[in-house]
This record gives sequence, structure tokens and C-alpha cells, in this order.
Amino acid sequence: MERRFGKGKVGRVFLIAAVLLLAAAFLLPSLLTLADSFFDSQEIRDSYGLIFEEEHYVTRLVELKFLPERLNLTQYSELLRAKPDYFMKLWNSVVLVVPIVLFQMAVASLAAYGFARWRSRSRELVFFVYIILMLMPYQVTLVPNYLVAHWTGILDTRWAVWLPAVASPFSVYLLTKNMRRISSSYVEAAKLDGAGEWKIFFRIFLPMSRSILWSVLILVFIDYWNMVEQPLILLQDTSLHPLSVYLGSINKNEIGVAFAAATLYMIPPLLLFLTRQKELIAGIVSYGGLKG
Amino acid sequence: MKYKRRDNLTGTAFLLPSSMGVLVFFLLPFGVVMYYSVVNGPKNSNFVFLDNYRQLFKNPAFLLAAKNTAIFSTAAVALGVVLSLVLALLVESRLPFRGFFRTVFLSPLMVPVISVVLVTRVAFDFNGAVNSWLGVLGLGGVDWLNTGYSRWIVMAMFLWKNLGYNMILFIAALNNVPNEVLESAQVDGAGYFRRFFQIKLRYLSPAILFVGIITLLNSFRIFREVYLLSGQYPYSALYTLQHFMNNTFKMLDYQKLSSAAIVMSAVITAILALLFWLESRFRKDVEG
Amino acid sequence: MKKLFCLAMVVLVLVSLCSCGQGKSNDMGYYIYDVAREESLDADFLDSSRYGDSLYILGKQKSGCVLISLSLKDKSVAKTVDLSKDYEHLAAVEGYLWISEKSSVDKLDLNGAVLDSVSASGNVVDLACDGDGRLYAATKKETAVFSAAGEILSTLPNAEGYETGNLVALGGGGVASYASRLRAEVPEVNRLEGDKTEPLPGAYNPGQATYEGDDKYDYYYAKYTPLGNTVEAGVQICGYDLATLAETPLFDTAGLPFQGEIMAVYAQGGSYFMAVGGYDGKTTLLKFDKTEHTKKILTVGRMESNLSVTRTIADFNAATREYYAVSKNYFGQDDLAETHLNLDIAAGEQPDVMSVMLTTYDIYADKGLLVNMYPLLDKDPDISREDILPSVLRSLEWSGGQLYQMCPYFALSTCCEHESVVGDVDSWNLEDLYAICQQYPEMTLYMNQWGSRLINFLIGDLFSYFADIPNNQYRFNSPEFIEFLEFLKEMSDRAREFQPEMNDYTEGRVLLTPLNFSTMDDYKAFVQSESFNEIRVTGFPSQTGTGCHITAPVRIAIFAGTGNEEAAWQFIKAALSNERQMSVTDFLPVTVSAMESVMEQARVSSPATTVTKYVDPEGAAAGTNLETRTYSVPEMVGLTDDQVELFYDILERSDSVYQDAIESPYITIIADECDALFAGDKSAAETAALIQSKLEIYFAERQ
Repeated sequence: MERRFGKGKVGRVFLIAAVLLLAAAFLLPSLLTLADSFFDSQEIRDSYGLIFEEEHYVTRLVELKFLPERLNLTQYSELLRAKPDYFMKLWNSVVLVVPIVLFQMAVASLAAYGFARWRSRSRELVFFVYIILMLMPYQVTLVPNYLVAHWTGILDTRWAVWLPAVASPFSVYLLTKNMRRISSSYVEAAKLDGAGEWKIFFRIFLPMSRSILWSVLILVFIDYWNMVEQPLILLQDTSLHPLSVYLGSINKNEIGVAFAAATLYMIPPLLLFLTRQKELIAGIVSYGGLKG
Repeated sequence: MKYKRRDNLTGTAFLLPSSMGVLVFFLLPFGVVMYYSVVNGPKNSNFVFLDNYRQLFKNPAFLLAAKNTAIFSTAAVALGVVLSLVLALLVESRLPFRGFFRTVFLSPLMVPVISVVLVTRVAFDFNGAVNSWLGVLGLGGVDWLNTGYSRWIVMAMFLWKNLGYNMILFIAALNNVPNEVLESAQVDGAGYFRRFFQIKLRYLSPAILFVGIITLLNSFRIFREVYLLSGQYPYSALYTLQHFMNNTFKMLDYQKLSSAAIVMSAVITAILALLFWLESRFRKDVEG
Repeated sequence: MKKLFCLAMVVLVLVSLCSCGQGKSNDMGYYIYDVAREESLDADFLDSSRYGDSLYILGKQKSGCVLISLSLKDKSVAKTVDLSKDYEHLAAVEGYLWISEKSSVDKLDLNGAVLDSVSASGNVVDLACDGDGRLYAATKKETAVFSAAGEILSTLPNAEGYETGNLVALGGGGVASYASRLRAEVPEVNRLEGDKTEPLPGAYNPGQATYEGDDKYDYYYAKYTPLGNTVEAGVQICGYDLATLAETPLFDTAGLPFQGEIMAVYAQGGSYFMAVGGYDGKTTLLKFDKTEHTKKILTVGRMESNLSVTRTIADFNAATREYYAVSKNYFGQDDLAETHLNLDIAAGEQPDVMSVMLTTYDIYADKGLLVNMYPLLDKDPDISREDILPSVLRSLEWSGGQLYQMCPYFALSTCCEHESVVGDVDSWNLEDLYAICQQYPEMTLYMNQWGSRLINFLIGDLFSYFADIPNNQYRFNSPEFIEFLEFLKEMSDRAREFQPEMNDYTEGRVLLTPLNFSTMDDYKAFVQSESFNEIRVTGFPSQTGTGCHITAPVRIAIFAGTGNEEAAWQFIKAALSNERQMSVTDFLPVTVSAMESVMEQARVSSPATTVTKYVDPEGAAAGTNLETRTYSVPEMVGLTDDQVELFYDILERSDSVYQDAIESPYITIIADECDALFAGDKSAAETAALIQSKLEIYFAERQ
């Protein structure tokens, strides 16, 4: 049952206006990035030069431009032509992130099943520890991760980034929360049919959690698509660096290309998001016949 | 009995891959961090036990960072939870184009960090857009990022990024409040607010806790944006524990880094334990 | 189950504690190889190839190309055969040789007779044969693969725009092709095998100084050094295994009496053969035999790249048989370089010696990670404290009197003004500075230098006036600092209006002239200028110090706990050796004896003369070319006693290292905040308050 705010038409118009304003504010940065990617370098210099030049000694003012005066693709062509590394880094990003996402989902769903099906005091304690560890900022574990990677010889290889990421407790937390909501009556019914634990996991829990799995997958993808510190420290070979690192290091002189680079960088997560939007929203909105 | 042990074994088997990974890549590092926090230097292993902690609590940089982190995280969780709840109620209340709005509010997740930072710089720099609008109105410009307003700017960045996801989570939870209870309360004559606070909120409490934890986690992650905006030494109001840890990391001062991390974990553990206990008390009433 | 879990956790935690304190992993030392035999071949080296136990060298003599074949196994004499064409490249297979000239590739038997011929699509850049007898002929755009009989099997093109540089036969099969493209950062390195092309992982730049492999290693290569791939540079030869991506150092050429470019390396029965292209047009074949002795590796960490340390490394290698110094480069990663060094230290992998240019050693010294060099200096038989200029030592010293860093050469940095403006003084402070600038309303500090650059001039000497670091008192929001900032703003504004005119110095329009004496020529130019008599060398204005500094471009330190401290000290001694010190050309030497001799040379006066020389000395001796050239040598005026004394006086007054003053991070904080001040956006008081709060945090972190 929904609750209606505001009585009558006036209230509704006000409501819609407020939400629209908010939505516009939310869209602002993405639209700006997209729009600015069509500027040419002269226009960028005109609009933003003041902020990004080394010495601004004349107090001129800046305009936030949404519509380029001359719509052109010089940024993109400049990017493609002069920086072939861009696509190598893009490929690096894909190679780093996709295995992380797949394996983290696999490991986490197994663990979530383990936490959801059997509850005991010690398990609750372990789960609590998982949550604490999840909240640690990366600086805490970075040096020891480096040492462990160095000690096991995987430093400077992709494994140094994959392995700690696959073990991340974040998705375990999200998935467990959801799996715990699945009613035990399903399990009992399946057991009566003679199914083993593995079958229950595969045939019942996973399909029921399909939507939440997709939403966690998208979150994790976006999270690791944007990771910067781990590759910087653990991968010393710059040819293995992903795009997120590269974008972070585009210096002031290249502000021209930065917008286009950022726009292209947004595309994979955006695509993932748009194609799986249904699952994403559906998965979170309705827990599909589950009891709270 | 046999049944239970076999059950336990299979249960542990499911947990094994994840817990092995967590052990090696999270718990083990945590152990190393504890080790660093009780020794003398990165190479000399002289145990100094709690000396590092004593020094830490006397350190003005740490105290400033701790204060700022506490303020920001508390405000972030409070605002993040409340505002997204309000937003969820708004969007769910028979608004047209709900799907479109959901998408829009989720879109900030896609945007790369440097775009956000770029826009914020462009807007709030001394020569930025906001000051130019103020100039049009005849008011002088302010170096926003170096004043007390900087906290609000960072909060705005944080909320922009996180409100969408929190909102979706709340929409889900709202949909799960059983209608019968609400309808029967309505029949009994309870007003809107009474229904909301006494019934809905109780059913929402697990979701509130859940969203609260996620928001807390994200409030630590905002460090990256602040770092890109202001560098290693921002305005004093923006200097958080992560800045402290990042700078001591760069200085090879792993002792300070580790002891600060341990202190932070201890505080978070305490807070979480409290929250869980509170939530279980609250929820019991509902289920009972 | 629970118990097992906890037990596993405890075990792992314990293991982690143990591994934390672990020292360095093994040094990867290797055996010393001495030259057992040398053979001189009268031909200029073009290319070589080896099959089995035989080595074939394609050389060029005055009369034409020759093919030299010799056995690597026994001591039989080399056979030389004249060839008819002007060949360029060579590849050997069983029973015959492929040899190319422009775009045609001839097949020769082992006596040099032409059997057959195939053609490539363009000029052949390189030839190689793989283990299966196939011939790879690379042109710029593609590589053609031929069977043993000469039939073309396939053509493997390069990626768009990439041009092949060379081919190297790999021990594990196939041939490595190295191709590069203009403006592309990454070259393309592929393994070609038959008709397959696949990228080579982690290959160490097979373009340069890479030599064909055999059954032990996929390829051999000479480790890169900026001094060139020559024997006298003391190059290290390594073998590379593509399966494990591991490089193994095999031997090096340090300290050998030969000279020339390393053209090829072959392994034969535990010994190594090296073909060296001499500068006189002859080729020398050296045979290296293994000895019982081993060398250890000394790691020299480099935060920046400079040639003097590279030369010191070569000197050190040539002088010692126990160690081979290798560069470990941290540069190229911007501000991650220090982080990587820190992580290496944490992991126990710190280099033995560290060389920095712009960074400071603060964080390492304060943690006891560096070795104090005074004890080493005192107990060393060859060099002692008195041998090094006392000002240099004093400037490099740490606050506790330890010598953690050493610089192999230095420059003097100070400041001078015109006497009519500053008076007949030797030093001055802030109040004097303010007074003078008020007296002359058009005065700028240094011509049109404005903004944060002004900070760099002055803050080094004034910092300790505003910051009492040991006691944690900072006065950046004090009235004095605000006054200082306002002063800087005023001077910056004046600088923007500045127009150069005649007599700027004497008429009070420009105040400072920063001086940097890197060589005696710099000093001579200064003291022998016309207005010298009216100039006072006062140093930069300072409240507490003298305002004169030394500039130490390179500072070297020894990391503690590596086990190689003795050798590291020998390395530093190599930098302080007479030979190295006397050959420093762009800077001043730090040893007393070298400095004295430099000063002696500067005192020499010689009149202007003309010199006539033979253009071709050999030709003149033989009587064939008697052409001469005449050029004039300008007059050299030597330094007078007074000038020499002034120099030593300035040197004596120097008490700190200039880099520490201007490169420290806290200076950057001040300079960044002052940007707004100089732009007129903020007042001095506001800027001072911001600087105070940020610096308080900065120094609090370091308590």
C-alpha cells in the first residue's frame, strides 16, 4: 500500500517538481562530462583554463557549459590516435575486473549459503568479524597484502590483485542478508524430496537469489572498475595498470582528453547497468515471495 | 547427533573457500597490523607494547582526524539513512515515471571519481562557477574548500553518490511491510504519522541497520574524492583518519598507521555491537 | 571444526609474525669468469651465427666481405673465406649458411660457395634460423619464413606501422621479432614459429644487445647500461628463460683490459665466448672460463637517473672482484617511487646503497634505517674525515652529528647585492631586507620573478625562524610571518611591473643576485666581472644562519641491515676516489686534495695564444696529409689570492644543504597556499592562518 503525499493536484505538482529538481542535480555531473567531451581543447581552455592552469593571477570567472559551441569529436580522435595505450588499459581493466567479479560472486554465494542455512553462535561471531573486516579502509590491509604477495611471489602479477579481491567480505554480507530471508519451508520441502545440500543450494537458493545476485554483481563490478590504489601498489609494471589508474593520472595539460576518456570509461558499467536494470531493481524491490 | 555433525561439516565446507581467503587476505594482514602497532619500527622488532597507542592519543593530528571522522561519519549515516528513507517514501507514493527516477538516482554510481572531482572543483574553486554566480548577484567570492563550508560540500558529494542506492534498498523494505497490520491500524483510527512511526519503522529496523552499515562503509570511501580535491593536507575540517593513515603510510611510519587502524577497528566494533544489540531489541517487539 | 579453524588462524598469524622480520633473500650471486683465451680476427664484425660447435662470423675487410668459421670446442685455427658480395646478415643451420644482401638471401655451403638463392619482399633487416631449420628473413614490414630447402612457408606481417628491428633465435624454439613504431611507447615483441605469431611475455627488450639462445636459455642479453653495451662499461650478461620469466646473471666484463662493443655471446660447455667489435675495425673473440670464486650483487637504489652514479657503478665494478653493483631504478613512477622504496624496506628488500637527488632522507634516518658513515670513515685506512671538505661534512650532518648521507660533488649557493644598496656587510636579516625594500620603492627581489618563486629564494633560511621543529612550536600565524607574507606580496606585485633598464642594480631596482658556483669557471666569471668590486656577497637574508649553502645534487646513503654494508662503503669510496673526483667537470669535488688541485688550476694565468694542429696526425706522420688548422686560445686570468680567500670564506660559511630547504614537502604546502595570496584572492592574514593550520597537522603527524 502506498502512501500518498500531499493532497490533490497542487501537492502532486509540487512533489513532482521537487523530485525533478533533485533528479537534475543528480544527473548534472554525468551530463557535464558527456557534454564536455565534445569540446575541443580551445574551448576547454577558455572555460576551465583558469582553474587548472598553474597560476591564476587574474580573477576571471568560470562558466559551467553544457552545450559546446562547436560540437566536435576531436577529443575522441585525439584519444584514439595519440594514446593507443588507452585501449590497452581498457583491456587491462576488463581482464582485472571480470574474473574478480565472477569468482567473488561464486565464493561469496557459497559462503552466504553457509551462513544462511546453519546458524550457531560461533557462526554469528564469524559473520560479525566479516562485517568488521569489511569496514576496514584499504590502507590498513595494503602493506600486509603487499608483504604477503611479495612473500608468495605473486607480486607484480594479476594474482596479487585478484586474490584479495575475490576474498572480499562485502558481497558475502549482502548475499547473506538476502539468503537469510528465504523461508525454511522450501528447504524442508526439498529435504523431504531427498535433495542434498548442494542440490538445495543450486536448485533453490541460487535461482531465488537471481535478482540480488545481479545487483550485487553490478555493485561489485562498479566498485572494482573504479579501484585505483591496489593496482598502483601491487602492480609495479605499468603495462598491467587498468584504466582507473590511468584516468587518475591524466595531468593538467591533458584536461582536454580527460572528458572523453572519462566518458568512454563510463560506458561498460553503464551498459551493464542498463541491460540488467530490470534485475537490479527487481532484485532489490521484491524479494520474490520471501518472508521477512 | 550424527546428523548435526554432518550438517556442520557441510556447512563449514560451504564457508571454506571464502573463509580461507578472508583469513589470508584480511585476518592475516590484520594480525600483521597488530604486530606493527606494538613494535618499534618497520625493521627493528623491539616490542614496545602500548607505547605507540599512548603516543597516538597524545598526537594532535590523530585527535583532529578522529574528531573529523566521527563528525562526518555520524552526520553521513544520519543524513544518508533519513534522507534516503524520505526519498524512498516520496518516490513510492504514486509518482509517475518511477522507473526513470530510479535510474536517475542510481546513475551516480557509474560516474568515475575524477568526473565528480572535476565538477566539484569547477563549481567550488575560488575561480569557479558558484563564485561567479555570487558575483552576478553582487556578492564576493569565497574559497569554499578552505572554510567550514567544505564539510557540507563533501557531504553533498557523498549524498549524491549514495542516496540512490540507499533509496532502492528502502523501497524494497517498504514493500515488505505487511499490509494487514497497516490496514487494521488504519481501521482502528490511527493517524498517518502514528502508523508510520509505530509500525512501519519497526518493520524497517533491519533495513535501517543494513543501510546504516553500508552508509558507514561508504562514508570511509569518500576519502578518495577528498584526496583528489585537496591533496594530502586539506583544510583542517576535512582531515580525516584516512588522511592520517595515508600520510603515515607515505612516511613509512607504519607504527602510527597500524595503531590508528586498530583504534578505528575497536571503535567500529563497539559501535556495531551496540547497533546490533539495539536492533535485536527493537525487532523482537515486532516479531513477538 | 571450529577448533581447527582457530588453530589454522593462530598458525597463520604466527607465521606472519616470523616472516615480518625476515632479512633479504639471497643475493643471486654468480661465478666469476676470467678470460682464458683471446683471439684477434682481422675483420669488422657484421653478424654471426652459431650451429652446434661451430661459430660463423660475417666480417668486413677493406677488400670485401669474409666469412670466418671456427670451432668453439677445440683450439683449431679459424678459417677465412672471401665472399663475392657485400653481405649484411647471416644465419647458420646444419650443413650450410643463409646470408643476405639487400633483398636477396643466398644459401652457402660451409666453404662459402653459393648453392641457392631466395628473395624477400624488401631489404632484409635480419636473418635467423630456428631449431627446426626454418629460415626467417625479416624485412621492415613482415617476416618471411622459408623451409630448409628454400621454399617459402609463410609470411608473418607486423602490426600496422611497426617496423622490425631484429630477430633473435630462441633456445626454446622459434624466433623472437622485435618491432617498434614511432610515437608508440611499447614495442611489439613476438615469438614467430612456423606460421604462428604470439606475443612474448615479459621479454626484456630483445631489440638491443640480445643474443641467440641455446638449450640452456631462451636468449642471452647484456643488461642495459647508459654507458653503452661495451666491455669497458662492465656489462653483465644474463640468460633469460621465457617459461619461468626468470633472468639469471651469468658473468660480467668488469675490470677487463679489453675495449669494444659486445657483438655476440655464446655458451659452450661451461664456458662463454664473446665476440667484441673493436674500435680499430678488428674483432676479438674472448673465451671466458669459470673460476672458483663468486661475486655478490650490490644493489644501488636510484631515485633519479644521473650519469655520475652510473659511472661510479662502472668504476666500482671494475675495481672489485667480490661485488657487482646493479642499479635498482625507482624513478619513472612519479610520486609512487618513494612508496615503492618504502614497501621494499618493509619487505626486507631494501637496496644496499641509495642515491637520491631531490628527495630527502629524513624519514629513513629518523627510523634508524641508515648507517652512520663516520665510524666507517674513521676506521678506513685510505680515507678519513680530514680528506673531505669540512663544510660539506658539516652541511650533510644530521642534527645528532651523524653522517647519513654523502655527496660526491657539490656546488656553492649564495646571494649577493650591490654595495650601495646593502652596505658594507657580510650578512643580513629580515629587518635589513624590509628596510632596503622600503627605501627603494621600485626595488624587486630578483627582476621579474614573482609569486611562489620568491618563496623559494627566501624561505630556506627563514624557515627555522618561524618553525621550532624540535619543540613543536610554529609561528606561521604570528605577526612576523604575516608581515613577511605582506612583504612578499608587495615584492611580487612590484615584480609584475618590472621592466629591465640600465643600471638596475646600482639604482636600486633589483636587489638580489642569486649565485650558484658549480664550477670554478662560474666563480671566475663572477669575480672577474666588472662590477665585482661593488658587490657584497651576503648570502640570503637569514635570522639565524649564514645564508650560504652547498647544493648537493646527488646524495648517497647506506641502508642498514642488508649484510653488505662494507661493500656499500667501498662503493661510496669509489665515488670519493681521486680518479672520480678529478674527473668531475660540471661540479666541484668534495675531497680536499681534488679541491686544492682545482683551485690551483684556477690560479693559473696564461696569455692568449694561437695553436696550430694537424688535422690528421697519422697522415701527417706518414707524410700523406699535412693539412693544419689554427685556432686561438683566449687569455686565462688566474684568481688572485683575495679571490681565492673569498671563495674559501663562502665555503666556510655554508652550513646546510640547499635541497633540504626547497624540496621539503612543507615548503610545497606554503607555496601552494601562497598562490592565492599572490593572485590577490586572499589576504596575508588569511593565508597565514591556513598555512599555520596545515603545517601544524603536517608536523603533528611526525611527532
